[in-house]
Amino acid sequence: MSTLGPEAAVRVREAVGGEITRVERLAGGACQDNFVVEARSASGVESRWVLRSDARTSLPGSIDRAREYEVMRTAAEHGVMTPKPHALLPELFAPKTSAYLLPFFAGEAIGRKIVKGPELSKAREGLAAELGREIAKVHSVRPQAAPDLFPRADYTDKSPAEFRLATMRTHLDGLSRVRPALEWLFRWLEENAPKDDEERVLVHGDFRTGNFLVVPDGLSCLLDWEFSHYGSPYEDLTWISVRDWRFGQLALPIGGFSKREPFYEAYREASGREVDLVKVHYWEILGNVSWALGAACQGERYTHGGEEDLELLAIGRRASEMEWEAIRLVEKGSV
Amino acid sequence: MQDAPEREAILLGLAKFLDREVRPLVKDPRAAFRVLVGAHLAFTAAMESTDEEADVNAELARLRALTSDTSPVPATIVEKKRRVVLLEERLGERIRSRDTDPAALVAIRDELKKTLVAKLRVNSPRFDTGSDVG
Repeated sequence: MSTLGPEAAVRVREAVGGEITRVERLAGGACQDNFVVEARSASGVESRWVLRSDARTSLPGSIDRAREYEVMRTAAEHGVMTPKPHALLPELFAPKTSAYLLPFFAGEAIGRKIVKGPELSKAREGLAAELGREIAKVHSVRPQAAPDLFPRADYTDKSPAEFRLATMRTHLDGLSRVRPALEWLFRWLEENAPKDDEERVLVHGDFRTGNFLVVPDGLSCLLDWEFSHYGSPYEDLTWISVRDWRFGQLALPIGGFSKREPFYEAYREASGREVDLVKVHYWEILGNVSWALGAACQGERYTHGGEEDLELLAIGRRASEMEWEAIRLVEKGSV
Repeated sequence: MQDAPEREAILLGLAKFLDREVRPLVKDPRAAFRVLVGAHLAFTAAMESTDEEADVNAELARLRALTSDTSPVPATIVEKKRRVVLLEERLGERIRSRDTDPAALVAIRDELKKTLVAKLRVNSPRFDTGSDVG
């Protein structure tokens, strides 16, 4: 398969256990290149895979494919609905990179279709509860059980909020131009950080509409673990409510398809944890600030980082939306 | 140099061309989306250009007040924009300073919101700044 190159094609063929019949490059993320691979075994059984490989660039806070492989394997072993990775392939395309295969899962990931598509109307009825139960399974993975999943210094030296704020401060200081609204919000986050927020669990890190697949019957699987880490469960419980991830359905704070309570209730039942709305308020503000900062950084990848993807410019100009939303939440005082 | 048709008309023309003439011809959904992004950026630049002088003057006035800047107001739009960047740095330092009391921070927030409203009018004209978000 010319798309993979001859040596890579041989290794992928061995991994999938059959002749490769089709390879198609998918629109990639910033951190990885994705391919659909179709194969046929000697006995004629057809299979479909996704091949994920480290890309030329990565985003701050993202993990590489080798670590992602371990995280997904751990999550799948804890019963999380996510494709169980198959065959880690070091240096498949380039030195110091890795790739791995995932069984192909069907489903819709496009946000506006998930929140409004008529073919998914039945799925939306129970989706929030399904996701609440699913993210509770993710949060059942504790650092004590898998201490080497992430670098220990990333989760032992600071509280989850302190760790996130330290990372965000670095990125804020790295911007070429000061954004006073972000500075103001950052100070608020520092002064209002939860004092008893010490629990650490496996956090998906990008748990939002667009990063799970939905089929007409409901949730298919969770995807896109490149921002996973050990942190506060509230990171996942609130990122899904960040304004941009509601895809225009502002009155439906859980991903643009549900009110809050079905999600929190299912999470409470499945995890045994209470959902503290004061902490939800704090972490939802942090999520909006984090995305505002991320958007500003994306814009600078074009203006200062030598990348020429037009979408980066557009994303950079959207930082003010999240700044506004975060300030609105501060003024409101609750979710 | 200034000439007709003006910059705003050119940018709006480019935005309309991309959205109405190019996008319908592009069959690949991903490429069509990128054409839409390009049209949006041209439209944004046109909007920014339309009220640029008034917006920069208003932002500069707010920043001068928040940073107690008493130096003479620059004469040209280019110099004013440079001053805005400089005063944003000073305001950032003031926000970070532990000497800035809570009442001052509230006053700063109120002024920052005015700048955000101006930015959103240009960048995201359909963004709802109402307070009834769930």
